[in-house]
Amino acid sequence: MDAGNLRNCFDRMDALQGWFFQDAALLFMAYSQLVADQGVRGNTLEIGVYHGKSATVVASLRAESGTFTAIDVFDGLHARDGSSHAVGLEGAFLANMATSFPSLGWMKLIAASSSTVSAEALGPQSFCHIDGLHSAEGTFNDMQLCAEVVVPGGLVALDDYFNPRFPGVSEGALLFERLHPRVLTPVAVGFNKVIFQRAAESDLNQRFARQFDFIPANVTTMWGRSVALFESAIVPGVDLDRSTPHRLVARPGSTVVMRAAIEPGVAAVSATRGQALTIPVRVVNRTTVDFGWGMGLSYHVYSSDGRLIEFNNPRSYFDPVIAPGAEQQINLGVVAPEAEGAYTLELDVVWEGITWFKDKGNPTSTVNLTVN
Amino acid sequence: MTPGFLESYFGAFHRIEGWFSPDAALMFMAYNEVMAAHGIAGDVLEIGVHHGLSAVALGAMRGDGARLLAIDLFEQLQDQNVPGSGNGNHAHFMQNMADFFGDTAFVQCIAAPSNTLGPADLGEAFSFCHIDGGHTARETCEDLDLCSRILLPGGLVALDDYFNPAFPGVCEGAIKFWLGHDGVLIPIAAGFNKVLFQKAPAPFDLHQAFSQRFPYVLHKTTTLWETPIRSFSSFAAFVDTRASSPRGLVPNGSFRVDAVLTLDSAEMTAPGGGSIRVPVRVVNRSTIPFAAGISDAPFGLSYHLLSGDGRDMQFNNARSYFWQPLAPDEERIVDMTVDVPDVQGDYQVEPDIVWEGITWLKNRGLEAPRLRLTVT
Repeated sequence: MDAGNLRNCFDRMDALQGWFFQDAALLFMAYSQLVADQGVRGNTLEIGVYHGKSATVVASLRAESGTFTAIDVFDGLHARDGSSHAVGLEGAFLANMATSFPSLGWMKLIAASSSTVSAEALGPQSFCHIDGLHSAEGTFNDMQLCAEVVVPGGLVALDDYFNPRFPGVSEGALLFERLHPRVLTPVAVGFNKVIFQRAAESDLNQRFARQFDFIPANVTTMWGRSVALFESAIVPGVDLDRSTPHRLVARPGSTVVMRAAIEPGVAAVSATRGQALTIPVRVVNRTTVDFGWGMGLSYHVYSSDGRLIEFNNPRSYFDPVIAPGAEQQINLGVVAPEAEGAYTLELDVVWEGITWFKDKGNPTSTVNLTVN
Repeated sequence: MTPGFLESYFGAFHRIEGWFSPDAALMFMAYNEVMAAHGIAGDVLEIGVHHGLSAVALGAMRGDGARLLAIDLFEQLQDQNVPGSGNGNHAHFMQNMADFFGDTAFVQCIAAPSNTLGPADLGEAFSFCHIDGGHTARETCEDLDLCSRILLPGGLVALDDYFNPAFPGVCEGAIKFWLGHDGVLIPIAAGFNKVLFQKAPAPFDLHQAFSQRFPYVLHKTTTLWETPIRSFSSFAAFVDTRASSPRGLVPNGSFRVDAVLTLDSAEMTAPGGGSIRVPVRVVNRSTIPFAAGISDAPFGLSYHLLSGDGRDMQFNNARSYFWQPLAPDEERIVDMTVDVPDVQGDYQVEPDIVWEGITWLKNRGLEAPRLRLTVT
């Protein structure tokens, strides 16, 4: 991750197992860049590294002379799966880190539960990523540890706060806030992460808006404070070929022309009421940006006489990414209306939180649907 | 309430504005059915009705002769809608209720902020409340407090948007309530953007009663407020909506989750330590699509690793999720990423479909061909 541009780094990152996406990586990098501009860049830390997917990013956020510390129980987790597989997670993690960096002399590995690690053993950190135990107690302990080691102005990112599979994360974080009010202040929410700042500066998000005007953000309220809410993809606005983990660069001509060819493989389909079906559709990316995370094919439902019945419908997201000029055969997931009749499906590309391509003048295509 | 009601109700989701799903309605109705079977059936309440999309479900869940109370700022008090979490319209709401119930005498609308109301205004005989009003921490906490005071013992309260990152205040308010009123509301279930709580003391074991009545509804288990709860990622798939009514759900007898997996090659050789891609032909033999784009319980192709002589080595492995849905009876070639063990030797790789948090299809009878993997 140290060498080369972000596109190469992300190609390597995407090949690794784990739940971490490019948009989250860019969010980390953007906020890390902002605090670094204020002189806060030093050591970085990740609790719960698994195969190292996000660790490659967090490690790249360290200062040139800084360290990266990885805390994980490694084979303890492995044993929890009831496995005796010869390849331990620690081996996989080290191999993946070695693939991403030319040397690892700056890395510290702590193969233990984070609850057994002291702040003194870690030293000061400028960026911490908590992705370890997802229980309330585990989250509380990790928040407490990171709050102790993160320097004033430094950042702590927490995974899965809003994930219904892990309610303990928000409980642990809120218990921490209750016992240590305003030690860590939320500043941003997005891509399954919440970013907190220690001794938060009042204008961090104003600086974000000025520095990264190519990254769309909304605002919500968390812990009584206004925070930035990221609901749409960041990647399309970033020039991955010219950016590095320490410096994000906007894609040239950041006004993206929303154009795609949408060519259904059939003119008409029939279904029973409420039936789930798929329609083959050829999509060609006519823009200058990738069709990636947060972008997908969807449809609007009209009655046979052209009355709009439902604008928002399920998405079929573009995976893998469709590069500019490239095309992909999409199986568009459709759920037939519950009422019998004749309908028209208008196929459209959606960029979540930003726009429907139809609203930007892109031609749509239609498929007739008969519900029996 | 006759069979056919649910079909027409769900058919109207396209035309009634709101943020509610048939799955959420069925989850409400299933738990309400269990409660009613144990004699807990009274008034129902909704805070934040918007145009009535979810209030129709609640109206159908009320006890015999009971009321539906609809609390909303409606159009005249929208200046008090702090987080902008809805925009109630009385005329639309009443028209939608009339469309489904005809006589709407059981509906009582209260145009007021919910925090100005108490048991003296509302009564104390509610069996089900749905909180979908103000989404700030303070409003959420106050609404939970209000509902906890007007519910019958064992009654249920559903809370909207607990896990919605656009409204962090809901989670904060709920946890503030929990910490200040520990044991008053017991978390029961989560799914479809809702969390269900039961007012203590619980007169019977709700989880056990639910399992007895709805053994066919698959779920996973998680922990909320230090309490095990059921987490649902699909409900409509398990229910025959044509034969069901809001007070009597009928299982979907044709529900099936199954697949056929085939490999092009039965043997592969690879150097240790890396990963290989193995194409697997997946045919969806289920009555539901294999999908990952919307649910928090996505479907994916994965595999189990076994030793050369067939002993289990690692059950959980990497997934290839169905970001593009695979509809029932459709098929597709999916690349399965296999991490090659470091240690030389013979292994077996058994493909499987995982429905995250709910089941592996192997555990429901799927038999897939195994790949013999030789690590050099």
